[in-house]
Amino acid sequence: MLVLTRKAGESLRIGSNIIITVLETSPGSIKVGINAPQEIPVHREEVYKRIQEENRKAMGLNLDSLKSFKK
Amino acid sequence: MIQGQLAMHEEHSEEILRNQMEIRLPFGLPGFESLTRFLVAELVDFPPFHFLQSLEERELGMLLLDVNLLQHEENISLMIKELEKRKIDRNSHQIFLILKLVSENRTFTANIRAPFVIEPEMATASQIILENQSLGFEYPLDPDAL
Repeated sequence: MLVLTRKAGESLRIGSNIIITVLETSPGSIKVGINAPQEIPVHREEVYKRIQEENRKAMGLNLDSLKSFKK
Repeated sequence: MIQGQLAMHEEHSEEILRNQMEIRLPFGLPGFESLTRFLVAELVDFPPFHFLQSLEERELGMLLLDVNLLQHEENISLMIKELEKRKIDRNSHQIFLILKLVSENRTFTANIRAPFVIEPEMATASQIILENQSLGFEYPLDPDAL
C-alpha cells in the first residue's frame, strides 16, 4: 500500500482525472472531498462490502421460494 | 435461453419468461464485479417478479421487483427522490429492487439502499448505492402489497 502524508487543504491525484482533497482533520476522523468523473463510482468501503454481501445472498435464491408468494 | 436458477424449467423457458432484454453492466454488480452481461426478463409464472440472469455464470441469477409496484410506500418514495437527485427517474429508466429470501418465515426483503437501474435506450444497467442511511438493506416486503 502506498502511504502518503497530507495536511488539510492538500490533495492527491489518482491517474489524470481523480483528485482527493483533505478538507478537514479532527481527532479520530478526516473529511475528504473527491473529484472524479461521474462514471467512476465512489463508495464508503463498509457500505460497498455490505452491498456485496447482500448481493451474494440474493444470488442464491431458488424459484421454489416464490411459490409462497404465488396467489 | 435462460439457465441457472431456472434450469428446472429449461425446457419450458419460453413459457415462463417474457420481454427478455440483454443488458450490459460496465462495472458488474458489487460482489460480482467481473460479470458484465446479464439478461432481465419477466417471470410469467410468478408475477410481478422479474429475473436477472448472468449470461457468463449459468448458476447466478436474482429476483427483481419493479419499484413502481411500491411507489406509494414512504421509504420507496424517499428512495425515488434520492435517485432523482442523480437525474435517474422512472420515465427514462427502469428501476428495480433486488430481493432476498428470509428463509425463516419464507418472505422477502428488498435492498432499497442500492436499487438496480436499467437505462433501456443504452441497454446498460448498474446498481446505484445511495448515501441516505435511512434507506435499509433489508426492507421487508408485504406480500399483500404486491
